[in-house]
Amino acid sequence: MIVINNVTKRYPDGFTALSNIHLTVESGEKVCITGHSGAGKSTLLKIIAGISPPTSGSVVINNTSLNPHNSSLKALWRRQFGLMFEDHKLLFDRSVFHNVLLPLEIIGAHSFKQCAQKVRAALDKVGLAAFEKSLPATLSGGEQQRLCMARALVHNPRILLIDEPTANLDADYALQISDLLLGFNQLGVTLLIATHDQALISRLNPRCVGLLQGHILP
Amino acid sequence: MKAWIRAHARCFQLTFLRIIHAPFSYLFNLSVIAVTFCLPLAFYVLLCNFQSLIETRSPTPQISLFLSNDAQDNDVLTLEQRLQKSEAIDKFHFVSRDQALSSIHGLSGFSSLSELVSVLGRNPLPHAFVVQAKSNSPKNLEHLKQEFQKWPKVSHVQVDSAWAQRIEDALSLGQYTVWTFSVLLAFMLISVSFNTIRLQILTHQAEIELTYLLGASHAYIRRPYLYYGTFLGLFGALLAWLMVATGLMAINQQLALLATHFNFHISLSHLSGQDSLSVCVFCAGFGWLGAWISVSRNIFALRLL
Repeated sequence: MIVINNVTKRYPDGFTALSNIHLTVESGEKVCITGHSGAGKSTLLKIIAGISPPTSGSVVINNTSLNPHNSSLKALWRRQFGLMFEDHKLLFDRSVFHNVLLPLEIIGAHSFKQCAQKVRAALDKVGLAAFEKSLPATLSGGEQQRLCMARALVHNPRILLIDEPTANLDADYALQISDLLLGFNQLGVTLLIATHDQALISRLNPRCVGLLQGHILP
Repeated sequence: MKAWIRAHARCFQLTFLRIIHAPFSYLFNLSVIAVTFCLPLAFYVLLCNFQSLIETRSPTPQISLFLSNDAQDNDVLTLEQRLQKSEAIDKFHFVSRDQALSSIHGLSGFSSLSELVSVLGRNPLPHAFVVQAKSNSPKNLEHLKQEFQKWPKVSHVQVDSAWAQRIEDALSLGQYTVWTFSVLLAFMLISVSFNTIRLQILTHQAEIELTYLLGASHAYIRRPYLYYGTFLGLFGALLAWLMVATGLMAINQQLALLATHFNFHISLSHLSGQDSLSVCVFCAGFGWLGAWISVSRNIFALRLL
C-alpha cells in the first residue's frame, strides 16, 4: 500500500508543483493521475519513486518511509518500482536485450543465465522476443514503448509507475499498451499512471485522481 | 559476496567493452602517460645502474684504529676479539708497529725516520687495526668511528669517507630529481585520468541518469569509471616499462661493443621485480585517484548524487 502524507513540492524558483497532497493507493489497485500539462502528475510520480525529494510530507510504502537523505536507501527504494518514462529513456547504443537487462544488473542478485531467462520472458510478455538483438532505434514508437514496459517489468516489481504511456502513440499502439497494463494489473501489480489520455482511462477503468495546479480535485 | 563479485566482474567487462569501443582514444591517452612516464623511469633506471656500478667498482673505505703507545699484546688480543664479534664489520687485519715501520721504510721521503728511531731509542709508530665495514654508507662509517673511539686503548680512529659522502650526495641529488619528476608525473596522471573520465561521463550521461533512476547506488555508477582510470594508469606504466626495456636493449648492444675496446663487461639492467611492481601500483593508484575525483565532481554536477 502506498500512502502519500501531506506532500508539498516547491522548486527553488518558488514555483509550487504540489501542495498538501494526501493519497492512498491499495495493493493491486490501478490509479490514474489526470490533469493538464503542468498540473504536477509527473512530479508526484517522481516523489513516489524517490527521484525528487518532497519539500515537506512523506511517502510510505508497506509501512516503510523514504529517507531522502540516505542515498543508498534511496537507491534500494527505487528498485521496488517498475518505471516507465514519458521520453522512454532507452540506451540507443545497446541492444533491446541489454536495455531490458539493465535493472537486473543494477540489482545484481542473479547470475547472467538467470538474468537472460528473465529478460527473454519479459520480452516475450510484451511481444518483442524476436527483437532482442535489435537496436532500439530500429523499433517503431509502439515497440519502443513496449520495450520500456519490458524493462520496467523484468525484475517483477509490485508497483508500476508510468508516465504518459500512450503519449505520441497512434490508437492501435495505445490499445496494445493498455491491454498489456491491464494484464499486469490482473496479476496483482499496482498501477499508478500519470496520463491525460481519456481513451486509456476508459479502457483501464481505474480510480482517477485529478490534479489541478498542484492540488487534488475533490 | 557472490553478488559483489558478480558486480565487479560486470564492471570489469564493461570497462573493457568501453576500451574496445574507442580503442584509439584509449591508446592515445595511454601513450601520453607512457611517454611522459618514460623520462623519470629511464632516469631512475640509469640511477640504479650507476649506484650498483659504484658499489661494485669503487674501493672499499677503510677505518684505521690506532692504538695507544702503551697498548700491550693482551690489549691487542682483546680488541681483536671485540672486532670479531662485531656484526657491522666485514673484515679486518692487524698492523703491528714493526710492520708499519718496515712499510714506511720502503717509501721514499722517509729516509730520516731510521735516524729518528735511533735518536728516540724506540719505534714511535702505534699498533693499528685496518677495518672494512659491511655497509659503506657515510652515516654507518661515522657511527662506527664514534663507537671505536670509546674502546679502551684506542687513541685515534681515522675514516676515509669523504669520497663516499660525495657519491652519496650525488646519488641523493639524482633520487631527489626522480622524486620531483614522480610528483609531477602523479599530477599529470591525475589530470589525464580526470579529463578522460570527465569526457566518458559526458558521453555516457544518459546511461548514468537512467541507471540512477532505476536504483543504481553511487558505488555502482562510480565503479566502471574507477576501473577505467585504474587501467589507464596501470597500462600506461606497463607501456612505459616496455619502452624503457626496449631502449635498454638497444643501449646495451652499443655498450657491449664499446666495452670490448676497453676489455671489460658492462650492461644496464632494468628495474627489479619489486620496483616494477611498485611503479605499476603507483601509476594504477594515481589513475584511480584521478578517476575518483572526476567521478565525484562530474557526476555530482549532473545533480544526481
